[in-house]
Amino acid sequence: MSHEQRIEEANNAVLAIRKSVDKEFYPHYHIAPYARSMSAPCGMIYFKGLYHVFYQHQPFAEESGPMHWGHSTSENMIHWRHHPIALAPGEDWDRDGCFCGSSVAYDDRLYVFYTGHHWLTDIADDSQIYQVQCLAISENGFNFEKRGIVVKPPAGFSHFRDPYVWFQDGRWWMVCGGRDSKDQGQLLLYSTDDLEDWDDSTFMILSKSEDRNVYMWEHPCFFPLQRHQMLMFSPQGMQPEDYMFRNRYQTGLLMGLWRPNATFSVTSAFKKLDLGHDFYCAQTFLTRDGRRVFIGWLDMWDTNMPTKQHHWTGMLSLPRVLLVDEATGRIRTPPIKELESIRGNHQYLPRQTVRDNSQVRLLFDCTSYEVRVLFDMEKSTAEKYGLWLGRGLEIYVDEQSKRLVVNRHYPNYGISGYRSYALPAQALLLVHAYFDMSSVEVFVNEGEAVLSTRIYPARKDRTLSLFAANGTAHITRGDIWALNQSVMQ
Amino acid sequence: MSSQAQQRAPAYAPRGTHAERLAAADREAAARWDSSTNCTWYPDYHLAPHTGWMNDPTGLVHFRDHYHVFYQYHPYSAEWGPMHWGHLTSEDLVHWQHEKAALAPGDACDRDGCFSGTAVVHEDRMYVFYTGHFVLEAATPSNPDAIFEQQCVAVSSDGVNFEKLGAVVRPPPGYVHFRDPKVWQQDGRWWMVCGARDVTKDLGQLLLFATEDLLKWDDTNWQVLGMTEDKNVFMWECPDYFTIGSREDMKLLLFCPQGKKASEYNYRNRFQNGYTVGQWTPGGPWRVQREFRELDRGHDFYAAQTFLAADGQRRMLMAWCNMWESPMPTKQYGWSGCLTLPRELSYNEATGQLRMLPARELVGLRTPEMMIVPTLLVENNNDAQILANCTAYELDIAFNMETSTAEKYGLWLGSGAELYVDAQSKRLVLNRHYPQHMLSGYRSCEMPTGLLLQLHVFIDRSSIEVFVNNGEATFSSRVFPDEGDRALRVFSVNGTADMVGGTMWKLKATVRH
Repeated sequence: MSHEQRIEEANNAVLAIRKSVDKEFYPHYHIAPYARSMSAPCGMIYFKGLYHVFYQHQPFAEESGPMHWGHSTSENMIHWRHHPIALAPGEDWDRDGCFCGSSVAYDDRLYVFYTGHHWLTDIADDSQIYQVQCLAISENGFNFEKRGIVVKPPAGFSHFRDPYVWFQDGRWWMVCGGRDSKDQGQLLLYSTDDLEDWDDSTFMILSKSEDRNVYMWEHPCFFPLQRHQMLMFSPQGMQPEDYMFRNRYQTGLLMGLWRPNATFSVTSAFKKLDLGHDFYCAQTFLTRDGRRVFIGWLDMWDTNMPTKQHHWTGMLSLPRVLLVDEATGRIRTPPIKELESIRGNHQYLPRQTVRDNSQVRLLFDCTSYEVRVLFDMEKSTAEKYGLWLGRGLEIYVDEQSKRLVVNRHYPNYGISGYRSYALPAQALLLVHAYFDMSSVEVFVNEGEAVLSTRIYPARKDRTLSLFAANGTAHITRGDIWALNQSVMQ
Repeated sequence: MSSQAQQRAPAYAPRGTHAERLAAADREAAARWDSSTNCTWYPDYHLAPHTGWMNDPTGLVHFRDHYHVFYQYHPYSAEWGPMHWGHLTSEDLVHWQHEKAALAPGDACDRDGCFSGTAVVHEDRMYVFYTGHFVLEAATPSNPDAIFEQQCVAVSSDGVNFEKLGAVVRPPPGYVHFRDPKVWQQDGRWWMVCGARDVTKDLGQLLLFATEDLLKWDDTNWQVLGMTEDKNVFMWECPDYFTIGSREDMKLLLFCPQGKKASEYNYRNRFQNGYTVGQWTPGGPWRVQREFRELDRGHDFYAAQTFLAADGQRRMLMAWCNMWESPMPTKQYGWSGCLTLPRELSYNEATGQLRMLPARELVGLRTPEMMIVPTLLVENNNDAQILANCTAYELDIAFNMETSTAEKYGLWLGSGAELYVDAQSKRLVLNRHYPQHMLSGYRSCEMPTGLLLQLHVFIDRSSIEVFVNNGEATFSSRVFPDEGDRALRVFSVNGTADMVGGTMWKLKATVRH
């Protein structure tokens, strides 16, 4: 079967199951698969007037199966269209999966670098794999011609994936996540003059995990931002400690210094990009006007995913801008401003006090909404105050632990627990929340911290309220916008 | 007893004799009981008023082969109002019988309320000391709360019918809030402590009076036995003062400070109930040696009072299982308030900790319906149902904390209450979330040390009491599951939970009306 035939077969499988997709939790303005499963975003790029987002896609099942590349495009990063599958596995070099990768535009063509995955045994055994970096090229961004392997793994690296390619100082560079025979996560660097011809016998280890627990670095993106060199990546194996690193795997940043032919000199501690329950495999790209934007997978491995029974799983986060304050080195990740274009009806919240042990209903049916509330923490006396969405989601200031908490409780799905952020010292707290049908993304103080979490409220349990328990809550002001649908359903 | 300036007692127009007022209260309660239709949250085995409002337990005593529990009682509505004394009795601390109301306000000594107090047995008669409360016409600079409180006594030869004998201790100058007498006998004399709040400094205090004649007190001769060091605390309520440990001069003061500022996880209830320990001999000062500690970590524990068991040895305790200014969903059904189970106290002199355990008599609550909870390893993001409809149950289970890896694991009661180990904050958490009743929030304690987390849990229709590791910590909280939302499940989030197993009993309905 040819690549084109495999793509057609996969697309037909998606179209067939599409008829059975239950839309109860399907997002209105987040990218999600047409049907079946989605995980990491990859190959994101602005090319020929369109933003392209590819993603890891399993067209034949919600759970396991060979990885394909699903595809969506947008002119503005807001209105997204579904497209046929871009890559299907099945060649010698990617027999068992087209894993993650990245895109570059060169000579008016789109070059996609991705990992070809092989199981070395008949069953899927994560310790018996062979992974290589491959290339596919497209003239139009939709139809790809596979060119085969460009980089083979060095000796001792069975986990070797997720290539990120860029152009610098007249040369092409590639970093890949690797896991060596000592089970240590690291970053491998390759370089070439010719984008289609890489000498994989010459490589250097750019960086290694200092945390011995970390056995793999996934989804590396390596790029300059102002005067810093940034590594955005997803380490596996970090041990939880107190409130930190509570997800199965993490995604975050290391800041440092790098010049070609030198190692990556890390100058900052690992900083998580998102503190919520469901954020992994972020990848970054440059917008048309040069902003550094990233999107993550809005889910987490090894968690219950109620939409499996609806015949789809996975969605992507909103695009966020990566900003670093030049003076302080502080990272902020606010949502892109283009999101304002899908705002519908507006409701203004004047200054008000939520009385002791009371709630103020804001929305009867909070489906796709943007909610901004400025809380005065100095004047508020409540033990617990914030927002309730139905019975299952609370976003609140917890005076006991002095944290902003996103707590979800859907015991019927076996989903429960909280993620939190240490309250900043200042008096005002801006909670900016984007609600969609099965997600909330909470931006604190303009992206100083973000918490992204999947939520599964019952149809009649979507009332959004301000509340104050055991004391009062002072709201300086607030805004609520209904958000128009912007993703093809 | 507690009352706030914003919760001033309504005007009360007493009429008729005391006996007539008691009969009127009982008729009203009987009529309201007959007309009440929803018993969703009415307890099977906890003490609650027939109808109407209950708060502090008062006058707890064993007298003539019966345990007597009186309580602050408003028979005419489910809100706090003119305080009567309600009454229940039991022979065994398990089976309880409602009695007629014991005290009704409206006499010269207690016109606007029979507030909290205590009982002593003397010469085969029961003497109850209680606070007579008055609402005055207007506030004055020396009396901004416009109240008057004095200590009164009533006597009974049968424990059911009481004869009021009038005021015995009037407030000293400078004290307006002056209530909740505790009376005991020591060294051939009778002693009384009362909670107080002075007018000039608004500090919570303990006032001491003494007499040789139980009915004749010289209230001009008194002592400030204790005073708050925490300047935020404006009142000490419901003092209970007794010998603890092996030396008679070691005294434990169990009391309810009002005004404590919440700090992190501590003092999160509207008002607290805890204890200090110190040294006191009659005639001298009370030297505090152990600072204030909260007695219970739950949402709903206040006005605890102690009494001696029938054996004369064990000190027992009951408290009001509610909290001031907390929403009380049962009001819509015409009643509010219940008491905790009776608990046995024990004191560790080395650590200064007072522990509570369920009274041993409570095994009598168990029906023959006993279930073994098997050893269970709950897998990642999974749960196991152990009861479909958990109404009135006792369970005694344990988790192996060493082998459990979950971020969050424990028990779910319906969708609104959870008792769990929180690996993030390293605390044991009791969380309740009933947003429709405006009840939401958690109480917690530090993780116990050691391998096993032993949870001895009593669940009734609207309450949960958790005894952790043999009373190392206790939680008392009201919970309000909807009908059909009472499944009890063991759960594990982001990891596994290793439940060692245990035993579970269905409990009887043991309160007769």
